[in-house]
Amino acid sequence: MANKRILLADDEEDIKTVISMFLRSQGYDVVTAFDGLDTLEKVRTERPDLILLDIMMPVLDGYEVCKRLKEDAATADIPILILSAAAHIESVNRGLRAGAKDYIVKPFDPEKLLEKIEHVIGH
Amino acid sequence: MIGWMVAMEKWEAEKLIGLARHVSEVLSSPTDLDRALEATVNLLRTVLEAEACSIMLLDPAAGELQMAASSDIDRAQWAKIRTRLGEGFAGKVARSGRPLLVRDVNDTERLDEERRRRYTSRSFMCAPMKVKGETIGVVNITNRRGNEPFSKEQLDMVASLANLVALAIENARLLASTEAMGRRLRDVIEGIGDGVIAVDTSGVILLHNEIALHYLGVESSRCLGRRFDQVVPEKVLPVFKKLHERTLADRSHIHEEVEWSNLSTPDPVPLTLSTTPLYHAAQGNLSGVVFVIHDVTLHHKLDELKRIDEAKNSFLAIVSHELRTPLTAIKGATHLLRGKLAEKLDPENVELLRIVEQNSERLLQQIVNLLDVVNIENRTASLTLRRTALSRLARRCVAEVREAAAGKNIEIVEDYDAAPPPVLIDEEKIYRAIAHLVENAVKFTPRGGRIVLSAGLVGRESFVSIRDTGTGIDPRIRDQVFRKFVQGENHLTRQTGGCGIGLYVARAFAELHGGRIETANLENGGCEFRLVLPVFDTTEIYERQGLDAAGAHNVVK
Repeated sequence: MANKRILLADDEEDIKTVISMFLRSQGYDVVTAFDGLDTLEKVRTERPDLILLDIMMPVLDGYEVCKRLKEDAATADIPILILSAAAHIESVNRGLRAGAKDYIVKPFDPEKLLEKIEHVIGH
Repeated sequence: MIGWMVAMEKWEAEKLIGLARHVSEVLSSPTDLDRALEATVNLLRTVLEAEACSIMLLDPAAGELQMAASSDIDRAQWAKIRTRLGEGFAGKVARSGRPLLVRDVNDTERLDEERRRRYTSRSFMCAPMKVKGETIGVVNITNRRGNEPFSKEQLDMVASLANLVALAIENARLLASTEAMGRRLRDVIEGIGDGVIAVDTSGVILLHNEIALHYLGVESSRCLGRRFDQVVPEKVLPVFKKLHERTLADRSHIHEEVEWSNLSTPDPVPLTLSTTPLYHAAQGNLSGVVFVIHDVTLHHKLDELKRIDEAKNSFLAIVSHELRTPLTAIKGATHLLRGKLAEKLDPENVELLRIVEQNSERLLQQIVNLLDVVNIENRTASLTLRRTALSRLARRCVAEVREAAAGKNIEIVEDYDAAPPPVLIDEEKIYRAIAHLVENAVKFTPRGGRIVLSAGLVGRESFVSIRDTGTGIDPRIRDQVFRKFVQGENHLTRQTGGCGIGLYVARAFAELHGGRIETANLENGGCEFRLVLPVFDTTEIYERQGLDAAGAHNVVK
């Protein structure tokens, strides 16, 4: 069975580097996107099993991306996990209402992230 | 009055005495001066058997006599009858201060042509009204009936009566002025924000205002004339009594803090009670005590705010220290690790260490930014000035972002003036201001874009300009981008403004130097940010004045 593919969308290079390295070491295949538009593009071309989506991105933010993905039948089924640096609960709720399956607040423990991913798509 | 009484022949003494008494009565009783004067002129006219009588008052500012009462001229016409000092009979009398008797008008040479036309005057008396030797107006009597001219005796009598009238007028004026002053004083006392109560030496209340009663929780109706120990509530009476005694004994001003709750307000109000001794104006002995009740709630709030502010400042200082200390350890340790493990680590791990080190640096920068904001807001930012060229600082900033820019394939072009003028600036702060602008440019320029930095001199201003090919700024929100980061969803897009605190700090630092940051949208869709600083160079000023930098005077011309 092929490795599960995760699309990691975040505008911060270092965060992408660290999380990719970590997830790859756990056996996942990781592709990255650098902003909202790029995310939509990569979803089409890379067909991930899970999307890790940063809320605060330039051009198109996480919520918008979430909405659009859920509105498109071809992508609506891909589970989305939101990465949020926002301190308050409201932005998280927004993400969940936009269709995300779960969320995790930065800075997070990589093990915690792993737990949530496994819960959604298995290993 | 005796002289003319003895000399008179035709005039009946009794009639005159009666007249004098009558006039006195009329003038002394009513407070309505106008009516009194009117009654007087009518009385005079009747008794003297004259055709007309009038009283004119002098307006010293205008130098004119104005009609104040007349037995025959309608009030509506009075405004037209103004006689300048020195003109006409009345004017001359007013100026000279001496009564005038004209037996036959046609005899007089210097006669106003208009008057001759206006009045068919024949005989005429005019007497000055004097108070303490100063003329305040005149009394005019015109035309004896029966064509007999007025006599000298009558003139003397009118002159005496005129002074009675003058006194009455003066008294009326004084009364009015005293009443006006009294009203003003009342208004002032009511208008003072504090409570005021004045009592005499035995404690009888002479004066008070509404606010005082409010503080004491007392009904306003019956305080005046009562002793304060019958009016002031039990709770605060002791302190009032004490201060009253001490003020009278020491003849000094006393100040005391009290706190009481009254019927007017449920919560206790912090008040201060101050006293001042009251002296008789002329005699100089004590006549009583003035109490002033002052609400110090705001004072207390201010003190509290000051305490909070100080606590905040020391809190921030502590926090900043507590944040920087562990960061220092992290940076130090990682740096050492990189050195030690350089050969032994594979690229991936080297990369991880670099990430640690670089992000510690970022964290440190954020702390520095936050402290900058605190300093700017508290106005505790200070400047350490040195001569530097802005291009040098710009170059350093570019070096710092080269890697990030390369990661986005952004080209950075540097185009600085060849001989840049040195400016007197706080290097650290201006470096950070330029760094914020450059970082913003990199953040908001898309992949493959271009950033152009230039620096130079325009007129008396030195500038650094950063032009990018990112999104422009909506002019409507141009000011907002300089504000501190306001929590919002799209804080990263220039469209909605609020680019964090970088621009806020950059602008504040520019303004500390007397400069500014300008922004403009470029034709190609990008944005230009310009840091402009005035060139304020003391050397230049010295040279212009023919002094060298050491201050020695070189006379050039």
